[in-house]
Amino acid sequence: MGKFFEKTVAGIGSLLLQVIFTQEVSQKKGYLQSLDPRVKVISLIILLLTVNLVHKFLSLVLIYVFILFLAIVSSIPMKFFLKRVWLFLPFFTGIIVFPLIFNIVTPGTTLLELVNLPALHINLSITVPGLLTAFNIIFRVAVSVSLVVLAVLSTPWYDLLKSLQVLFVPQVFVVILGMTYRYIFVLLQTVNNMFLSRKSRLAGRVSGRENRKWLASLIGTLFARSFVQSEEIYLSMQSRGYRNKIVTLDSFKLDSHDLLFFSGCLILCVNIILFVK
Amino acid sequence: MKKQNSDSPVFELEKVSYYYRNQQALEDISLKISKGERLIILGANGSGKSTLLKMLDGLYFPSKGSIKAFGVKIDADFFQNEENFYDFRKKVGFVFQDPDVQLFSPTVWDEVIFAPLHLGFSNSEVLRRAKTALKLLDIEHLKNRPPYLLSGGEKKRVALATVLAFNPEVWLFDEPTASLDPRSQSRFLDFLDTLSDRGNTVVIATHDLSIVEDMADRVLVLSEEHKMVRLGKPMNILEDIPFLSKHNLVHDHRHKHKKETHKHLHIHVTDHEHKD
Amino acid sequence: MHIPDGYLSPYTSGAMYAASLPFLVRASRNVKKVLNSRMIPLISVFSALSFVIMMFNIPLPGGTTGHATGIAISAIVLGPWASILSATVALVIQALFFGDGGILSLGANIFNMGIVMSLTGYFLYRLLVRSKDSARKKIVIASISGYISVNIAALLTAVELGIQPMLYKNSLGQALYFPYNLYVSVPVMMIGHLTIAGLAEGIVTGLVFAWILRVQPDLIFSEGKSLTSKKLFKFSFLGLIFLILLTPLGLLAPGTAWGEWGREELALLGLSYIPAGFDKWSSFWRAPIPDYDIPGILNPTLLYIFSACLGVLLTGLFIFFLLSVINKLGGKKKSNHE
Repeated sequence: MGKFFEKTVAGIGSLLLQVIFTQEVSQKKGYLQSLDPRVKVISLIILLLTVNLVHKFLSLVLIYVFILFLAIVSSIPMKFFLKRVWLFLPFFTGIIVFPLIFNIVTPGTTLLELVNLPALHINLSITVPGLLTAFNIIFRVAVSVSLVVLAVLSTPWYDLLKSLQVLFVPQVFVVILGMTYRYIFVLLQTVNNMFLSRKSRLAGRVSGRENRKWLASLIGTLFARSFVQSEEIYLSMQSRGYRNKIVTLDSFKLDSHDLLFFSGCLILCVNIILFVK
Repeated sequence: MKKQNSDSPVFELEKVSYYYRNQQALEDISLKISKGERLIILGANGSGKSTLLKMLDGLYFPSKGSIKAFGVKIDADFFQNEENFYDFRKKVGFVFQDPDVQLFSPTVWDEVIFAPLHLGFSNSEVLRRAKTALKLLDIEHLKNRPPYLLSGGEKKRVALATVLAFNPEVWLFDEPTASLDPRSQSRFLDFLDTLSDRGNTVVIATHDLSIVEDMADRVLVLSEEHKMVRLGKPMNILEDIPFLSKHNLVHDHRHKHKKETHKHLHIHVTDHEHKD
Repeated sequence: MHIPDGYLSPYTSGAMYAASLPFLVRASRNVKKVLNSRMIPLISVFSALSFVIMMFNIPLPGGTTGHATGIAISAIVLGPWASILSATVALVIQALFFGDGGILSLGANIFNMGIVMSLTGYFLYRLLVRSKDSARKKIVIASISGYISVNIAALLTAVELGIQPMLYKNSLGQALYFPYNLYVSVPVMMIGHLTIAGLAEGIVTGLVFAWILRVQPDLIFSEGKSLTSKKLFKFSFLGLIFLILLTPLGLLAPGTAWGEWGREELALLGLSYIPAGFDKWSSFWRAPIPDYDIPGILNPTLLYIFSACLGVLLTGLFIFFLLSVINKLGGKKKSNHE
């Protein structure tokens, strides 16, 4: 049925696997898992800000070491954690920063000369500052991504969601986020079924035009169905007592471990910003 | 809401019609449902069963006619009053056909506490009720699971728990046995028996004839023209094969009939009546 | 088009959050007023839909595939404000749970895609369409609105990225965040979007719109009164001013090493791979810049602001011109059909 089909189905499949895997890891026993999600989220955001504020490579390394340490004590599967960050990063950021390593973009001390034809005014070489700049950028992106992955892997997503409220995200928005996350799976299931039933009915090649038309009808159907479904959800909420006001029951409790972690992160960040930069 | 009169029926519908986007969804329904009764609404897809249930739950209001619940007329004005709203919602529970519609919260636990929380129970009462509901339906182990990781049968049980958590007097079910495996189905029927034993009023909309005989005190049949064509004892209706066939409730002898007016239909029904 | 963390300086990120906030507040007020209590489930389900559409690979003519955001079509169907909210929710979920786009850069992603794309998609459609238009013409217009709105969003993204090396460097003059300036970021981003991504968006917008028009036309959002050109002009004018104000917001932040951002080398690299057809685009940005060292008259900051304003204005005018030409052509086509 074509590339688009395989790619989309594969995409949906890997997303579902990722979600299930994340769910499992986030419910393991570990250090970060034991913390109050609100404290964890704020602390990790302070770290993220620091990562993006500092200039020196050393600062990034220090924070990354801290992240790895946290991952280990939180029984995050290391192989997955490293792969998730370092496997895809070179493809995107790596390609983007690649030209930086050459002298025509970043002049400076030559590390390795590639082409030198003085007669034609062509000189291509890899420079030390070029490599450093490129690596600095890649590393900054990698550490940022690591932090987010760490937060997601160590927190059940609904706790992560509820903890957004401490970041001044309005409660209504948090409820909408939760409901959206939920209905993504309902829609994905519908999509998967429609893809599979089309696949089973079709043999041989289908033109791109046909595929586009079919995809449009699929999206159109989803649109129409979404209207009906949102109306039904509204009724079912009403039926169970919803009257334009969402009530939640928060059971988070802070203890000394949370405060310790928070102050630890804060001290680390302040010191890095002040003394290492 | 006025004090409930023990003599007055739970629901009283008088010549109720409903139009949706200028299309007829229900036509001229009059009906009384008394306390503790088990009523099954039979009808093919699109006959208006779900609409009727939603009207009983005060989610839709009649375009014509009126509905009384516990002796008081329920309409949009009635629900504007906060006290009326909560009083009615605590008494009537609705299990939707599609559990994906009923389960909109991040986790099973959030789902089960939703109703008691929104109906204004105290926090300790919310916890107590939610825990009891999970225990009674034997789904305590699913507490922290998100609904998308549940099987179909588990989703149905969680949907029941969400209503059980506020323990309403009246239970409305929309197609409760659709896509249930035999074991889940027999479990569900046990659950219905328990409700009846406790004196709850139960209204079920379905096209599944297999549960009619055991579960219904009375049966109401809706035609594909959205009219009430029968109201009576389950046995009389179940044995009337031509009648069931005409209303698309058995599969074999499905035959289309031309657009007919209101009057003709009733004559038609009596013509087809099976004689023992 | 999702900007990851580490590509934008925290100052720019902060500015983009600040820029998004008023739109989000306005959108939620608006939607609340219209939908009242139905808002929560409606926005949730459509955010989920938005997310799912972004996952689709769209088969394109020529055998490749591309992703569409689906934001233009949701703006046309749901109206701009509901679309802003649902796109924002989808982007938050992508960033939070699936690592698509960063957390600090989320404000920028919300602004570029959620807000600008919803507004431009919707208003372009409303500007060009007349109620008596044939279905065919409406579909073409929807498709064009999708194509243009995704390109405007891409242009904004490219500008945000491109100003990074101009604003922020370490003490050695090396880039800290996104390393290429506007000469590079704009053409590179636009090549991808004027072709593959734009095409995907246009196709999705057009085809889905056609489907809805045929099957359930009552779904499509209408404000009752048609948009008067005066009102629309006012709106686009305000939007333009806002964009101009926004572009140099990053300047407020304490940047370092101003002098080095016009480096010949970078310009060379950027221009060396711009195809001939894009000369026009790059010259928008380039034109005033080579003169930046006019001593004493203008400092680079002012020149930068000036060139950014000019760029936004010219782009706007160009798009406006393009649209009116298309509109005229579309009108003729229609009369031929009938």
